Amino acid sequence: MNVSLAPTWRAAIARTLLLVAALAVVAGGMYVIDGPPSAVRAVRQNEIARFAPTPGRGLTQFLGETALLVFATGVARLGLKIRL
Amino acid sequence: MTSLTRRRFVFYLDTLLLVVFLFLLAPRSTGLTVHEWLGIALALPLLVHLLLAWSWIATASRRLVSPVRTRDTVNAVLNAALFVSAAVVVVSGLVISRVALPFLGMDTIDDRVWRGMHNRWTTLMMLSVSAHVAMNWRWIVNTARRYLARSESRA
Repeated sequence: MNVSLAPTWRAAIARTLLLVAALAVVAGGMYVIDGPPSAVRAVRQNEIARFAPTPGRGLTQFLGETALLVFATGVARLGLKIRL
Repeated sequence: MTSLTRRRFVFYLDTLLLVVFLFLLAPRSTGLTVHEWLGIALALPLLVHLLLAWSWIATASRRLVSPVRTRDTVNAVLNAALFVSAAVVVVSGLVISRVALPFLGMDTIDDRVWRGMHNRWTTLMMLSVSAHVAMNWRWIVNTARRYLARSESRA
């Protein structure tokens, strides 16, 4: 299967760099607005333990988020009439 | 390479993106380690998705400057919102990384403010993804039908 990402390699690289530049602009804005991460504001909890997966909580969260996304998509399509 | 082959590839890719995104929304189902590595691994298929949609992005950008219909402006703004929210989520996620980036030898700080930003913008990203799916719903349904019809005719 041959799927072309861009007319030429140069175009693909240029477009990638443009996307990275856009990402950098957003990142720069984040640093300006909220400042760099600081040890003073560090979270002391064990996040790895806190997010340790369990079947019950994991499935509940996954199904809940999926349902939310489906609902929001329905509202966007049927309610707000969002379409191409 | 036929148009249907490219279309099928895009459909598979976008389905993968959506499924991975749903798992990323539920870190308690994967644990933090898988959540972080999955988020990083999503970068490449996301880049491919954007490169494949480049002609649309270019057209939408031009229409933003000289809009033909109000819907064009709305759609371009919605997609820009998706890009910005995804960028904030990805960058903030990397900044507060507890597993992946430390594994790669980078020091990170789990900053409360950046964590809050990660969580808040995840909600906005989810809404943006919903709008994005809604926007492309007809393409999704048509491609699924065409692909399934083709698969059945082969069977």
